[in-house]
Order: sequence, then C-alpha cells, then structure tokens
Amino acid sequence: MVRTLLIEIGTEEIPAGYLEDAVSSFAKGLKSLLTAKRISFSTTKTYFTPRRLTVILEAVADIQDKIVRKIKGPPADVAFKDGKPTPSAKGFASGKKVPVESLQLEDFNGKKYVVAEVEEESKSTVEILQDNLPDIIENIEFPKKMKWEETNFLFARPIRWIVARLGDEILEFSIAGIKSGKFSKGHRLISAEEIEIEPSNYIEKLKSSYVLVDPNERKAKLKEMIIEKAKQAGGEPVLREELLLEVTNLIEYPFVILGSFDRKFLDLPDKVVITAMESHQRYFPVRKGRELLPYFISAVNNFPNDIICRENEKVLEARLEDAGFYLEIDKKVPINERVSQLSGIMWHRSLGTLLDRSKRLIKLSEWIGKKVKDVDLKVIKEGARLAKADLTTLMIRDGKEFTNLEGFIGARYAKEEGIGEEICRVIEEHYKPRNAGGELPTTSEAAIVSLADRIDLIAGAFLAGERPTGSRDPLGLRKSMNAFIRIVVEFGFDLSLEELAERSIKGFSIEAGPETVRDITKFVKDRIAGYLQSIGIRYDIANAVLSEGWNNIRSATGVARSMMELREDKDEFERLVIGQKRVSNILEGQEAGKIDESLLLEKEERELYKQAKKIGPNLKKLIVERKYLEALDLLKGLRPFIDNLFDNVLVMTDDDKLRNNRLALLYYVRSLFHLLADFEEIVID
Amino acid sequence: MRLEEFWAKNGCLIGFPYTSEVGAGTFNPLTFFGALGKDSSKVAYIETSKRPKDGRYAENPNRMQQFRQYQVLLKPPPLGIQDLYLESLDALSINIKNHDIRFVEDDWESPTLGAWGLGWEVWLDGQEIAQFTYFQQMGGIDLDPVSVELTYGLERIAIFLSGSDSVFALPWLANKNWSELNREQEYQFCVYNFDEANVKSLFEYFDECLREAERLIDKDLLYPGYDFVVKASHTFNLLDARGALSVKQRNSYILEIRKLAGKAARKWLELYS
Repeated sequence: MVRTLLIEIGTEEIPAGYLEDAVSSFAKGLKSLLTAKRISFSTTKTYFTPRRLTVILEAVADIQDKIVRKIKGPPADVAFKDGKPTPSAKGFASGKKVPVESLQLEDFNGKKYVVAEVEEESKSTVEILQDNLPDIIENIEFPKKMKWEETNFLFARPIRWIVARLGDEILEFSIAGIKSGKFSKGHRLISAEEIEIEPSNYIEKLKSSYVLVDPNERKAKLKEMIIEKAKQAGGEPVLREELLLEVTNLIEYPFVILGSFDRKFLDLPDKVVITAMESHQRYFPVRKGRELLPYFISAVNNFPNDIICRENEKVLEARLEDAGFYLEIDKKVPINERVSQLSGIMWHRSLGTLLDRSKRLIKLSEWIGKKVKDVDLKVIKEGARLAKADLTTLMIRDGKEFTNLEGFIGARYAKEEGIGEEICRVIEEHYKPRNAGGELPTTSEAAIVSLADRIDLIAGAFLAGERPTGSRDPLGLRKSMNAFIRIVVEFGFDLSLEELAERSIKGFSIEAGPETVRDITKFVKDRIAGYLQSIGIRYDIANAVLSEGWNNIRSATGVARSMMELREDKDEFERLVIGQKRVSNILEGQEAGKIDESLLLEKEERELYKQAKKIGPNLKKLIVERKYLEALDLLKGLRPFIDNLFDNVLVMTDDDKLRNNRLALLYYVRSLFHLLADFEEIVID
Repeated sequence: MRLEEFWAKNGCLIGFPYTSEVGAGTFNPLTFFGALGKDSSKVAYIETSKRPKDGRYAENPNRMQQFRQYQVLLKPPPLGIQDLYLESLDALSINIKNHDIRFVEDDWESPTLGAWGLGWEVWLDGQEIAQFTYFQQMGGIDLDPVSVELTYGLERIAIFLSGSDSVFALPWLANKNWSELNREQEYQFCVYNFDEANVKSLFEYFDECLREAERLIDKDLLYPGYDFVVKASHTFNLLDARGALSVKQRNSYILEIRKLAGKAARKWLELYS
C-alpha cells in the first residue's frame, strides 16, 4: 500500500531569505532517508510561509522494499560430506532461519563455501520515519540557528508545532519539547485556532484559514493584486522581482493596501522617493509612464482597513520628511567645501582620511586616463575630485536606507550647482558595477574613476594587512577585483595591471615591501584566472597565459581564446606545446648568455637561429595587432627546426663555449614563446 | 503603566530604571545578570536610554539622544511568548485584529556587552515599535537556558496611541506636549554631546572607570564594579559622539569594555550560581 507523507514544521517567523533553501534541504534530507532505507515514493512537493516549512511526498510505500542478503557459512567440504549436510551445515542454516536445502555453494578466492540467502526483515515506514525525523529536522540548513528551550535544540526560530502524518496515521516523535501531531495553525491574526490536517486536504484547509502555503501561488496572487491596485491609482507598479519575492515570503496570505502621500514629496528626486518606499518599508511605488505617482502599495498581514492604510502613510511621510530635511540642510554646504570636509572622516585607521583617498583617486585616474587615451582628462580629474564628496552629506551619513544612494546624491547636488553633466556622471557612476551582474558605467571617464577607486581599495587593504583569507573578505576585495576585470574587458582598456598596482601602492604613505607587491600580484592573477575560467578557458591555458601576460587582461583574454581555438586540433596543438617543452626542459637550471653567431657551427643551429630571427619581429607585430592565432602559427612553425636541432646536435657538449652558445640560442627561442604564454603550464592529456 | 500591570499579572517582578546612564535596557543588571545562570527570571521595568550619537539637536523627530524603553526579560521563554506579546499590545488598547502586525527579521548584537541574539523588529502598520530578541550570549557566555528580551519603544507607541504626527506634538505630561517639556533639554544635551563635552577629562574618566571596574570586581564587589563598566560604556559613547576616537581606538575601547563585561558576567556566575 502507498500513502501520502506530510510533514509541516510550524515555527515563529523565519527570515524571508532563509525559507527556500531551508525547505529544499528538508526535502533532500527526507528523500535521501527514504532512498537509503529502500522506501519507494513518487513526487515531492515543498511549501513554505514564514511560519511553516512543509514537505509532501506522494505514494510512499508502507514498508521497506525486500532485500536478500547472502551470508557466508562454513567451507563446502566441512558443510557437506558425501553430498549430505553435516551438523555444521544444519547449525548454520537453522541459525540463519533458512531450510538446509536452500543453502548454496559459492566461490571465494578459489575455495567453495556454503552461502545462505537471508531475506532481511522489512521495517515499516512509520517506524523508520519516527526514528529518523528528529535528525532530519535537526539537519535542516539555515544561515544562522538559535536555541530557545531547555534541550538546546538548534533551529532558525523556535518550533511551535509539528504535523507529521503518513496517510491518516500520525508519526509520533518529539523534538525541542514539541510533540508531533495532526494539528496545524491558521493565520496568526485572522484565524489563530488549531486546524486538523490530513495530507489530502492540506492546501485547502490552510487556505480556508488564510494561509496560502504554496509560495508560487502566493506570489502570483500578490502580483496580480499589486497590479490591480496600481490600476486603481491610475498607473502601474514598480515591481522589482527581488522585492516581490521577499514580500511574498514575509506574509502568509496576500492582502494589499493602496496608500497615498502628499504631492509635495514628488519634488524630491525620484530615486530618493523610491528608496524610501522600497528599502526599509518594502512598499511598491506606482508610476505612470516615467512619472512617479504619489501612491504606494504595501502588502499587509491582515484584512486591509483605513487605520492600517493611514498608519503606513504616516510612516512613509515621516521618512520622506526626513529625506526633505536632509536635502535642505545639505544644500547649505557647497560641494567644494564638502571635499575639504573629507579630511574629517577617517577612511581606514592606518590609511588616512577620505580626503587622502580622494587625492589618490585624482592622480590614479589621471594616470589611467593617459594610458587609455581619447578620454577627457579634465572630466576625469574633476570627477575623481568630487566623487567622494557626498559621503559628508546628511543624506548619506545619516539617512539609513538612503546611504545606498551614494554617488547618486553627489551627482545630484553637483548638478544643482551647475557642474557639467559628464562630471556628474563620473560622480554617480564610479560605484558601478555595484554587484556581479550590475550595470556598468556608461562613459569611459566614469569607468576609469571606477577602476581607480577599486585598485586603490585593493592596494590599501593589502598595505594595511587586511587581505582576504578563505571565505573572509570583509572589505569585498574579491568583488571589487571582479568588477575591475569586467570594466577592463567590456571597455577594452589596454592596461598593464602590474604598473597600475605599483603606481597605486606609491600613492600611499606606507612603505610597501616586495612581498606586498607579490601578494597583490597573486591576488589579481587568481581573480583573472577565475575570470578566464568563467568564460570557458581551460585552467592550464589560463595559467600558461597568466604566467607571462597576466598584467594585461585584454591580451590575456585574447591569447587564451586563440589557444583554446587551436586546441580544437589536438595534433597541431601538441606540435606547438611540445616545441617549447623540449626547449624548456634542457634549459632548467642553466644560465643564459649571449649568442655568438660565429660559434653556430652546425647547420641545424644556424637554421633554427635564422628562422627564429626571421619570425621574431613578425611575432611582435602580430601580438601588437592582437592577431594571436597567426602568432601561434608562427611559433608552431619553429617545431621542425627545434626537433632537427635536438635530433642532430648535442647541446650539452663538453666544450663550454659551444654549450653556452647553444643554450643562449635556446633561451632566445624560448623567449619568443614566452611573448604569448608559458607553454610548460599546458597539460597534454 | 498598563504594560507594567500586564507584565506584573504575568508573573514579572517590576524593576526600576538603572541609576547610571545606559545605552539600552539590556545594560540594567536586572537584564545583564538576570540572563545568566540556570535560575528562571522574570522582570519588567522602564528604562531611559541615552545614545549621545543619535541626537540631532531636536530637529529630527525620529532621532534623539534620549528615549524611553519598556523592557521585559523572561527566562526561560514561555511557550506562547509571541501570543503573550500580542496580548500585551491588547493591554495597550491596540486591537490586533485591526492592525498589520509583523515580525521582521532583526538580529541584535551589543559588542560592548559581548551579547547577541536572534529575533525580530515588531512592526505595527509599518512602524517599528519593539525589539523581540532571544539572547544567545551575554558577557561572552553561552546562555543556558536562553532568555527572551522584549523592548518596547515607548515614544513610538505613544505616538501611535495618541494619533500624533511626531514625537514633538506628543501629549506628554499635564497638558504639555513633548516639545514643551523636553525639546530644550534634548537640544542642550546634543550641544554637550557633540560640541562641549570635555574630551580630555572624558578620556581620563574612561580609564578611571576601567581601573575601578577591574579592581572592584576582583574584590568581589560585583555590583559597583559592573556599574563602572556601564559608566565606561557611556563615557565611550560620549567620546564617540565628540568624534574623539579614531577607528582603531574605537575598536580597542569596545574590546576593553567587553573584556570587563565578560569578567563581571563570570564573577556573577562564580558568586551567585
């Protein structure tokens, strides 16, 4: 017989962000238990609200599948004499509770033994679940757990009830002082009484108690209601998917209110008004076309009424009032004065103030600007100078949810003072991209200041000894470096990172030892390797390219891509790689000298030298032109000459002069390979 | 008053505000020591909290350097604690049937007390009116059993109940509103906290507090010793508001206070449990 299994863990409000992962870890635990215990089931469904995590498994077998185990007994010659079972065989059979006739013979390492096939006792699913559910629930994963009662059970928030049923049977167990049963609870404020649950009526029963337990259904319905309310207000909602998802997981049943606020607040920048609604209050703004309307929509946890609506309006207006207050006060201080105020804010205890940082940014941005060319250096310098000024404003320093408007606020204030649009763009966009998939800056000037901002942070952190270790990266250096790489790649900037890192370290007043430069180099290299792998480059090719060309992301990417292409043809690729490997092997531990042409006695030496000299300039030209595939082709062409030399000339001859000259030749050859990559890093399968 | 009645009826000892300046009701020994040890404990009291850095010269109705909290500590947490909390709102004439009440994730931490816990902000129609925290550690010590702390923001609740638009217009005492009674005081304290406090003597006093705390706790004079920990913490807050601390100093001062808070907690366990 098969039945439906239902487990609902009723809790106090679990954080919205925990729910989805928690319920899938719960389901995973249950499924692997059943699989391990040979209990068949068909489909799995998971549901959750802030107050419950639920897994339903359909068609769960009542008992374990049968299993037959073979048990080895005495040797055949002991068990049987003249084809008849001896007392030893009879004893073994009765011990295993099988008829003596059913015993079989099997080979173990060339010797025959008696084997009994024993059917293992199948336990009931109920019994197995009752024994194991406490463990499974204890092992549900959460980012943080807490204790709340005397057994010190750990969970995200206190467990208050558990429904555990297999069909109509109750699975009995207890954890954290709670006994499992058949009663669940409805909506806290609307329908708080206990409700008896059966697996077959779970969803409907909860629905009638104002709990929509299916998160997808809850989300769809909520979305529909929000759109409907916005329509009533004559517009459409600003619906960020992330926010919709979070709000869905903050409520058990969707109710929404439409609130309004005083039109005068629409004079505030839209972004400020939207932030006031979205970030702390989790309201949905309403707009008509591009124009913001003086309305908001909020999901609430009870039947909507006028009081709830009015109170929410008061809360929002107080926040908008705050924003207006900040703007008004902030306007009193011109942005230039704000720049000098940066000297009063400590950036980092050993790296000075924000003004120091700001000054470094100007220099570094200008330096990058000159390297990149074709950019407006004036815009860059002025943008970099003003970039951090808004950190002294009340709006950013004091505004709680408004603090994530940094950049935007600076640009806005600068604009009001009549500062040019391009400069304002630098101020606003130098924080972009803000996250992995985030928008990039829209101009090269803004992108350059963004690069300077990030490399200054990375260099500063390393100088101050705050480098990331393991999973700890409190200053977000990895994120910064990834953003850096994205900008360089997307804008196609041609920059030597080694130079940039050195330059940036010089900007600090701290003395940097060689190990700091080395550590930064390694950090940068690792990030670039990660980037290359993320675009489908094999790790060994990434390493090969980075060993030589790491300091320019654009070239590194180009070379790596070409090598991946060449690798499609295995033989060709090997021809290229083995060439350098042969050369490098013999050079290991040897000193390089100068080539003396007059000492190139053998024909093979002269030919290799001639060929190498011939392709050298071409190779460099192709690299400058970024024609890497053709450059690799030239290198490949060296292979026959290399092979000829090794096959016919003894490099390590006893004659010092000849030997050193031959080594020098090989050095020269290897240096040509190294213009592109260190092919020794390549793994040939 | 009605909160007091409600919690008294629910078996709480009604305590008193602490006599030294505290940044939160948690600093009151009734909570700090009450959360330690095995014995159950139920206490409720009003607390005046001072956070010098939060003042805004009485210009911003949501930010003040001094405010009132109602503090409840229950150890161990009763089974229906959330329902009990909702009942206490009912006692305040907030009919929960007509409001949107939500428990929004908020993890609490006090670095100076070496304390942390998990819980929520409680939202009433979109306004945060209380903190609800299951303490996990106090004075760096893992709690067993844990306690639950409820902290009601009294100004916020009063605004809500009176229907006022801001704390300034709040009817406070004897027909006077908050502004008339407190605004001048709030302003003057802001001037003191941000501009006038004597940094040199505060630094000296901070060191003095640390020394006294250490000395007294060592002599088993736990309560006066802990009092100096509380005083050190407030002195630290003043220095912080005055902008007198570099980031590095700030961290090391927090660490020193935490060390002594931990020492006090361990001493309490040694003496009384």
